[in-house]
Amino acid sequence: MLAVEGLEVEYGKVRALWGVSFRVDRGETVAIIGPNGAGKSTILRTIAGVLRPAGGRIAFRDREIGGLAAHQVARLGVALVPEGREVFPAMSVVENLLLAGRLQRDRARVRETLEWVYDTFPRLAERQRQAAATLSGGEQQMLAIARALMADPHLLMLDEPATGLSPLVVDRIFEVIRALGARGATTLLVEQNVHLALEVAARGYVLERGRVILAGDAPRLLDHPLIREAYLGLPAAGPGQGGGG
Amino acid sequence: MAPTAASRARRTPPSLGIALGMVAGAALLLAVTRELFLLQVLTFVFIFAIYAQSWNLVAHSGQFSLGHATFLGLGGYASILLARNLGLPPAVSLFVGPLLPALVGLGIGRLCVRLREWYLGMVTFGFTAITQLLVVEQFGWLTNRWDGLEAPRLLPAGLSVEGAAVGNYLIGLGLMVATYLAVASLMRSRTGLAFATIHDNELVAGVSGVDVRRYRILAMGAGGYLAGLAGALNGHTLTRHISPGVFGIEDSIWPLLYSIAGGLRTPEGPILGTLVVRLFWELMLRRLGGFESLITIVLMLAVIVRFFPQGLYPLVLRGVAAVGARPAVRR
Amino acid sequence: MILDPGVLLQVLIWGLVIGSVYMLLATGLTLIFGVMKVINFAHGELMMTGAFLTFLLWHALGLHPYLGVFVSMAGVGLLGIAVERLGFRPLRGTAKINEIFLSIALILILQNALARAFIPYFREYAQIRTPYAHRVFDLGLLNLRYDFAILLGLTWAVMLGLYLLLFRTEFGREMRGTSQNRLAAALMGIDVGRIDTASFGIGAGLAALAGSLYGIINPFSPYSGTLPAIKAFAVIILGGLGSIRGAVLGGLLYGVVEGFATFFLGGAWRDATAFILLLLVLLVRPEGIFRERA
Ligand SMILES: Nc1ncnc2c1ncn2[C@@H]1O[C@H](COP(=O)(O)OP(=O)(O)O)[C@@H](O)[C@H]1O
Ligand SMILES: [Mg+2]
Repeated sequence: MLAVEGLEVEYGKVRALWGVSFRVDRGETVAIIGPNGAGKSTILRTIAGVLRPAGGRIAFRDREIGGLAAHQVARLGVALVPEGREVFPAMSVVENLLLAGRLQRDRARVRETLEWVYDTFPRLAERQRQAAATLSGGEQQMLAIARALMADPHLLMLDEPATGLSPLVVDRIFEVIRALGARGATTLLVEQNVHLALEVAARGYVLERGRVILAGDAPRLLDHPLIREAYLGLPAAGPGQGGGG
Repeated sequence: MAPTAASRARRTPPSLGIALGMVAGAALLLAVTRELFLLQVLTFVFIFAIYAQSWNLVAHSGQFSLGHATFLGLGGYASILLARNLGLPPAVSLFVGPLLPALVGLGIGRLCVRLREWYLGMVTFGFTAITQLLVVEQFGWLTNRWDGLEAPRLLPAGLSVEGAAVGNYLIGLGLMVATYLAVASLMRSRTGLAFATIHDNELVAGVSGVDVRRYRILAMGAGGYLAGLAGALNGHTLTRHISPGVFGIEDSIWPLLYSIAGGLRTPEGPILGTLVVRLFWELMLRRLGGFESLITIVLMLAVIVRFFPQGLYPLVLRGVAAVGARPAVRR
Repeated sequence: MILDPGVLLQVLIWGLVIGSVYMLLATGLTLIFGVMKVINFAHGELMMTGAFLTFLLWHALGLHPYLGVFVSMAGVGLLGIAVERLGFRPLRGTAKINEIFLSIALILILQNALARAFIPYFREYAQIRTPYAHRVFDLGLLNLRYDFAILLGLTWAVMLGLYLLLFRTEFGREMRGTSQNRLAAALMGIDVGRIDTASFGIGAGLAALAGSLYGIINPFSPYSGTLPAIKAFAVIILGGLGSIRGAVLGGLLYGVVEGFATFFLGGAWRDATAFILLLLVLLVRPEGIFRERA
């Protein structure tokens, strides 16, 4: 579905990504994890066409999309739920959703998707006439995800959907991500919360300072000494003792 | 990435040397020619380089004023009124008068202390129109409304035409160089560094302990004084008259054009820009009408902005460096 | 003596007519700012370009001014599109000063181009004369000039059209979306560059209508656009940058206040009103002007 090879990205003259490669297969949920500033958002923004790559290739459904404008990438079926939600503040919930619904060719399916999205996030159905700016942080995150789903994308990309939300909301959101995976959706998930991410993902990539330093199946990564030590605060080997939080 | 304030300071040649160079060049020219028109054009360049210097100083603190003519005009009016109505010698009123725009600058700076970019632009733009209105209507009894005021000469009356032209030329040169040295040392001082920090990022400046409010207001006040000085000097030497037309949009735009052409945020840029643009302007006026010349100038500046976003001064520096590099290599 | 209701009504109508000019200017400015985050300082000059086009069509070709207005709107709209495409688009993402420079430089270019093109033919001031210049509706309390009635009707028809476009069409939703969150709009597949172009074109077209109205009720020169534009700046700062509703209400209210200030305090106060209002806001509620909402 998505194959990224040797991706390099620069902000002005400052390089953020140094030859990043990974792939996401159809129907797979893949996680990219790494500390703050590693370049996770930069990867997603570049795939989405918000940033231009300085080098490397991005193939989506066997088509080179590196350097396309954001709206072109979106029309090909890539949906990004960006960091910081980025809803349309003065529009109502339903207007937010319908604006994304335009990306579907089939008008009839927009209604259908809307119903399904409301089923998934009943909170949004309750607040459909309310301006997005008046929603709580958790509700805005749900709206941002729901809006991405409205486009019925081939690839869904989520940038730290758990950050800054209450545990209850986080649980709900990850439930949805898991359910989407079960339905056969293809998802690229970026997280700092390694546990959460590797629980829903089949595979993961660890990014540090703009480079992939580790890759593998989720269970293997969870057991990897480096991950246990640096990210989970556990001893490098042996059964987990709970560690500091 | 933009060079930091420190690296900029390191790369620029010492300002005293440049000042001496400017004086030497101007004196040399005077030794070669006494062509009246040329002297007048250059006097104009000196005066408006002070004006551009003022705009550039304010811009250095991150504030793009689009109403600088307020200061230019108020300085001119204040000095001329002091000389006419209170009998102050113009040589004194020239320096006292600009205190008015300095005060107004402090006031505007205070009022607009939280405005940035477009907001600040719109408000300062509007202030010029208010000022014009006040000068014409509310203070019409003092300012003779649209007809304006005759300005007493700065130089003694008995001088020959050539003598007066040379005198104005030298006074303009002297004040421009003095302003240049003052602004250059200000930019290098702690205050200048604070300005630059605010320009680069107001939030960061505030967090790192720079009193953003104080420095922004200070910059507007200092800018007001220098612009007012240029206005007063212009009135007492070149135009010998002032009218509310001075508060037009064009006079607010020129210092911006000069500074951008020469190079923002260096004390040399405004001088170079004023010289180049003004000479170009005079040359064009010989071939084209005023309207066409203005349009051509603006288009030329658009090209500069597009292809040399740092202005012309870095080009000059590079040229000098290229010439100076050879002996350095040998050494 | 002056509290005669007929006279007050007359002043109100005058205020609404001149307020329509400010409303059209402010709406265009705020629309452009909302989408592009750029203030078009040359809006007053686009306005005068519109006035001159209508004038020229009428004066040289004998086109009825109320038809010419539409041609002029289309013409200036195209000019706005060209300005966005050739001017602002290449500067997007560079230093803010470049956009400010372009915006300000356009004033000089347009003013001088207009002066060059028109002053030799029409001396300093021109005015558009409609066939109804001396006709009035006698409404008992007041005499309503035909031109005023038509101008108010025309303005409101255009504003209604704009409202329908923005709030009842897919394209309008895209435009509002871009204005509220440019990044999100692009991620929703909206070609934000196209929206930029459209908003500048529409803003310029509205300015042309404002200019033509102005030119029917006042004599004008290439320099006449500056003050109305400054007043429109005051209006959009008061009404909130990017807010259409603020621009519409603010523009009309401003016109009415100016009308009454002129009537009661005298002509010297006409132009001072804007700045006194602006100063008051700056002093009393400086934080209020940072609100950006579409
Ligand atoms: N707009 C930007 N301008 C300059 N540098 C940036 C910008 N955004 C991110 N960076 C830099 O790029 C690197 C990667 O950032 P980002 O992709 O946001 O990391 P992450 O999402 O993993 O926290 C960081 O060093 C960050 O400072
Ligand atoms: Mg991030």
